[in-house]
Amino acid sequence: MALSDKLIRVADKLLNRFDVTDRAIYKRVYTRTGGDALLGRPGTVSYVDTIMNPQPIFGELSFHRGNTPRNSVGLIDSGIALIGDYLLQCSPTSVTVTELANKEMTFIAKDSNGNEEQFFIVTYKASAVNGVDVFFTVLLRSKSR
Amino acid sequence: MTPLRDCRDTFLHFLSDNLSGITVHPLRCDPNDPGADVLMMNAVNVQYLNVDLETVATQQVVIDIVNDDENTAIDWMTNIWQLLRSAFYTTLYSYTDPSLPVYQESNVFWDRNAVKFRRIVNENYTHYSCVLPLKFTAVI
Repeated sequence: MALSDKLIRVADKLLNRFDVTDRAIYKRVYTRTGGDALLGRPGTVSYVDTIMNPQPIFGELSFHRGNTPRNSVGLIDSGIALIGDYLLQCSPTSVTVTELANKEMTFIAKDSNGNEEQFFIVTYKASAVNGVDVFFTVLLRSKSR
Repeated sequence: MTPLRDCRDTFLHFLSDNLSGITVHPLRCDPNDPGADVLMMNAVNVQYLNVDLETVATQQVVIDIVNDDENTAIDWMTNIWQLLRSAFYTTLYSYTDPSLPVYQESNVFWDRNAVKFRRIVNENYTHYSCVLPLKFTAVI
């Protein structure tokens, strides 16, 4: 088995053991039919939610050092991170680069009461071994800001 | 649908439908697309600016030609200038149903002698910009 495959399997097992938040993370893919993209008219919009398996590491970015807030902005790879942004770290088993690059895909956090929070992708970074992506780090911004 | 929205939609389609082989990229704030309000490389970018709502209203539009090949940018600029010089109005349509534009018995006008491009210097790409006031009838 290639090293990259082994690393992905290990990461998948470890990710399933994390219980970072009480919310489950889903991938939501929108399908727009009709409408006119040039005019920003969406036509008929539908979506499909798929729960991520394994669940990612997901948490709000901290700009604090101890109890002291430091900068209000930061740089994560090619994206500017703001206070209130989230970091999502996941395995290629649960999401692919093609999905991350699809602007019709967003991430949804749902709690046990059915409340949803939607995020859009600011930027993402792939960690690769021998040319194979083994881990993704995604900077998310809530649409509820 | 509002005349202001009709004016914007009509002008976007006027450019897009008549500039064959050129990507027309409208800049707008879109909660579903964080890249929608960023200039696109190798495209004719269209952004709407100030609005003056009167009976004869004014909608300011800025056309930004951005291309990493200067000769292509010059060709595009010539095409746009020729298109806007070929007429001084286009028919106003409502695109509430984009598949079925409805004629609004009015037009969108511009001053075809006011199509002037200025160079915005950048070492990585060629950028020409034109600010043009559009006139239309706003019945509120």
